Amino acid sequence: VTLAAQVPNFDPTDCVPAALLPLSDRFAQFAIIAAEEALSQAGLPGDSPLGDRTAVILGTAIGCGSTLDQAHYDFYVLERRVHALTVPRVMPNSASSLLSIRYGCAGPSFTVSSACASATQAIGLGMWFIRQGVVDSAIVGGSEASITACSFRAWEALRVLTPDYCRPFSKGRNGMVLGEGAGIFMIESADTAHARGAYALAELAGYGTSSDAKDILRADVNGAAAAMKLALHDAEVAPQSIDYINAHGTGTVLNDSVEAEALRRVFGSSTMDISVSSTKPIHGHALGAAGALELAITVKALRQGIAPPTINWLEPDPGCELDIVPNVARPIQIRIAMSNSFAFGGVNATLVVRKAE
Amino acid sequence: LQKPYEREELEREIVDIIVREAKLDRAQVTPDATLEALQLQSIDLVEVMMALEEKFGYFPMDSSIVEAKSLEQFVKAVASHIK
Repeated sequence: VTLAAQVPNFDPTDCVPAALLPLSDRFAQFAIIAAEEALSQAGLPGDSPLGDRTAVILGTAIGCGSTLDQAHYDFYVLERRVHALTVPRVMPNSASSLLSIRYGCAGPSFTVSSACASATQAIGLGMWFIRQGVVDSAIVGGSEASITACSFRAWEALRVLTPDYCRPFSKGRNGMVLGEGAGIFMIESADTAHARGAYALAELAGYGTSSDAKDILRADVNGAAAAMKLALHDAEVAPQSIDYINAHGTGTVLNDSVEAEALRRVFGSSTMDISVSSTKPIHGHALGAAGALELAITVKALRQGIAPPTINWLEPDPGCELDIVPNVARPIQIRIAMSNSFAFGGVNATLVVRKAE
Repeated sequence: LQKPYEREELEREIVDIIVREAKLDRAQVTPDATLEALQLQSIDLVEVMMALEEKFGYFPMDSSIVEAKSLEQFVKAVASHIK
């Protein structure tokens, strides 16, 4: 297998502040760049500290990839000393801590690590913190940059990578494509946003999470369905109100048939009325960042009224009977949308977003 | 591997690898035993596949392997990839 969706020609010196460069692994650098874009879009340029009513909650599945790889190579192969800043760079919380420092967020800051559900759990937790009044706003999302030669071979050995094309929910699918990147959101309580006259991109309406409590690798219909039901309940919306679902849809034989079955269990007879797509063949499976990248896509879909396509799709798989938006984007009215993330370890997480009023 | 005895020999070798890697009790291993009854978890199968790959070289993990329910189905699906 030789296929991965990497950020090409990435030069951190172009876009990461010089003071943060020596402290940051590639995955933290992605988070720094995405956070800058998010805060600037939110009208918070970062010139004054966000204070103790703002949290930073980020997800990552692996965290540092290249820093540890380099340290091992230096130490074991070259027999040199390792870089003195290896420890702060390899901490999985380095990204959330660097953002907390950079933007003066003195509320809770931590990292959620639950494999491919990390970002979705981080975003959901941030929303719950705000709802509970723990904070008024939160920088949330996920970041991942774990594609190294060694980790790639490890994924290959698990036999989940496609040698040719990632084609979720399609007949003939044979695996996923690893990806990397970061997705960061600034979320606020409605009152906080109104008070500062902020323009909301969408309303984060619900979050649900569950555990299969079964197998470490094999996905489970009950667990996946439970997360979706909990998210619908949390958002106080009926299954029939969902217009678009950004599926986890990895493109592995098993994930997609389990997810399709879980969707049928939750949405029943209205399943075929809902546009469902997996965008992973386009951006790759970014593991701990996946839920954040896909929520960004879901919000964009909601705002533009376009269901993004499931590309590389060949023909229906009887085990994945869904309206899969094959190959070409589809203009539709979207008022409420859902995004799914299911992870190794049996962790399931779902977010529901609604068009901002 | 056209000759039946070669096929049988191959399937026996595959079963040996499964028994060894998944630490199964040989007495429980009958062709019609389901993978579930043998309590083969996903991680056992990953280790089985690694060992098979070391012995026989790379082969793709297709839906017939992923969806095999019984030991016999699994062994035949694997054997069909080995030349």
